[in-house]
Amino acid sequence: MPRVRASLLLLSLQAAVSCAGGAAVVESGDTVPAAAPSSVRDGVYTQAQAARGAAEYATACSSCHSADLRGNSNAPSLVGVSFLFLWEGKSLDELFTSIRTLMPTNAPGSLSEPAYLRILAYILEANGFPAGGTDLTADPELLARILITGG
Amino acid sequence: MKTEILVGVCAALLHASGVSAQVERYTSVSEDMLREPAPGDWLSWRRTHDSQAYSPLDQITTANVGRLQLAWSWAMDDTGGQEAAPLVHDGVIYLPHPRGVIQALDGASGDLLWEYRPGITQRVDGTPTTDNSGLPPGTFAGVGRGVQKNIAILGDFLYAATGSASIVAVDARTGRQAWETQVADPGLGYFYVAGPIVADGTLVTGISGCERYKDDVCFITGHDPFTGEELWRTATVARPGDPGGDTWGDLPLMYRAGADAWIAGSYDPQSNLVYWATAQAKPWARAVRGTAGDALYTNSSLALDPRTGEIVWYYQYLPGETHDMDEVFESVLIDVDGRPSLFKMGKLGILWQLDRTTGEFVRASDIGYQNILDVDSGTGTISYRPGMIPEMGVEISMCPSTSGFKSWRAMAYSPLTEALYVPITLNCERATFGPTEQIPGGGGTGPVRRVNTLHPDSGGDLGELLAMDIRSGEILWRHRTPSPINTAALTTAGGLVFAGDWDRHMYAYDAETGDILWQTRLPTSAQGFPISYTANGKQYVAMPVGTGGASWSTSLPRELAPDIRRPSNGNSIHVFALPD
Repeated sequence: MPRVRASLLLLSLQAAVSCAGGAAVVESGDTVPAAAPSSVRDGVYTQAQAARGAAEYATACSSCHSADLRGNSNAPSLVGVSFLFLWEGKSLDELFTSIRTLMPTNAPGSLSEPAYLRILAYILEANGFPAGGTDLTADPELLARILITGG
Repeated sequence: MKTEILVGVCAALLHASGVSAQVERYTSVSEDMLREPAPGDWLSWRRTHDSQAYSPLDQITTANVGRLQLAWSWAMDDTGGQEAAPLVHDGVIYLPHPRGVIQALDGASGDLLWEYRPGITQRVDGTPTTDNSGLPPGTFAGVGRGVQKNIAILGDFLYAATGSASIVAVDARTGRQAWETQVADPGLGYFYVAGPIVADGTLVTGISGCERYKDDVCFITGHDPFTGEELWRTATVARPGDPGGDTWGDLPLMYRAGADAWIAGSYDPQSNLVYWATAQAKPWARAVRGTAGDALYTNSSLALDPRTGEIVWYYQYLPGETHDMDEVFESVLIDVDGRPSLFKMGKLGILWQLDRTTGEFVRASDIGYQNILDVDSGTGTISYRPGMIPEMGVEISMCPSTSGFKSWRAMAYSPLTEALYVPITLNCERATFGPTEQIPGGGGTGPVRRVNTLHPDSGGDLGELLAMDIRSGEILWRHRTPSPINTAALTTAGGLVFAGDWDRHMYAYDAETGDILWQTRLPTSAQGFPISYTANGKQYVAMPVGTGGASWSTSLPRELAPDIRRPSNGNSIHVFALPD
């Protein structure tokens, strides 16, 4: 039973979360490339983030979503055609907010924001989206511009 | 008889080896005791082999339940989903926790007598046990959130099935592990959430984790309770070339997934049959799994010979099921006017009655909330309503959602009212089923774009406790709550029904009328299997509380009752009694 869809309520919750994270965004603002990325194919995370995210995923996520991210009965697949079926055309902001506020289901919000970003980076890497030279940050405007696109 | 002697010998050897007993005056549990437990005991996951969850205790009654008060409470392991079905013998509670932990607690005080913790507790020979709560490296499937629903008891041992697909025997006196048998490879996705039952001297256990494509299928096993040796293994999916094998079209074995056996079964000593049900086919939708065939033995009741595992009969409730409408839940055995019957309700909210000797269909009673199919109440034949068989990528509006109106929260039966008491949540869904990859390791349930919606008949409520007459299927009463009824039901000879909701309420209902005679609030959601027992001659009612519990306890209340909040941790058990 998939539960990754963010409800309207959660989207508005996300707005509050994003505002709280605003200060960090300003500090990292000058690392945003001149041509802002518009797709997960534009190298929106770093390999280092994804590598640390893999270990954090194994600890916090794999017991439901599986070590290979393909999910089980109560947790949807986070890779491949099944993942794209649920997320294609949506923004990284929507996906990040869903993970950040709902996961893991027995302790929602219990990881640090950088850890959630690294786990998101790992999910992008596992889907074959390329790494880039700039860390993914929790800037809601940046994340909202990055669309999840298929191959 | 032979087995009981062996148990005694084992116990004597353990004492000779210097293991100190921590449960005083323990009496071995015989199969006769399982058949007819002492009134104050709770020896099977639903108390008795027939899974009626009816306690014959009557100190707490409709007249005095208003004076019920907290006797003690106890925090539980908080590292996984909590859906505990405790056992009680001689006033001691044997409490299954998430991640394979079991504790023995004094039923009167809550004091800890022993704890079994995988990887920490020693075996009876002093060697270390395996920490089987994690995932083996390279595994291609997860084990869920560490749910351990039920355990079994026989002789001097408790039996549990683990998240890493093994079965363990734990000394009921000391908490030390006697044996552990690896049943399947957790690296292939196999795991247990349901524990064994004891039937005719055999441990019968059903496995889960069968949604991913691999060259094997789900199964139910029989194990020797004394040695841990596997006696038989019965597949829950018909393989190519086997009887029923053509019901999966031409799909090779690799792509026949599902039929998980994730809820413990029941046993009838008269027929000497074990009744175990199976889950839906995977992926959920026909269009995604690539066959519109019946897909035996998914969504079926299997009647098994406990000594051989032979399928004596089967009944498939929903041939070719295609919306994740699981029928796997508890099998309640009731004799109706002399007819040995099996009652079953799945996610659709259809109460099925079978003759449990022959497997013959007797009656189907639709509670009237689902919009997916029509069932002929005289024959049990189902027909999908027009437009309700999902096509890939095409949205349908279905009631219930994939969460179901019914879930693992088991119904209970009262012989006083001849009624079943069913925990329900009301919900619908706009659902769009999507693709999976037909490759080894692929498959799964298939993705669903899901928008949860309120049920049009719900008046905005999500929860309902339903009383159904077993003869007519007539609804005797229903009691609505804003949040889901989130526990199994318990009936007692005091004329009471106990259950709890997601919004931290625990209720005592009048079984006749549905009036709430007593209620209290809990630290977080009521969740698990409430029981009643005696310690030192006094009646107690125990209510497990906690989180996890899948969509009834997560997305449904979060999205459909957003004003109701509860703590997202707090696994625990709360025990109530009348004042002295």
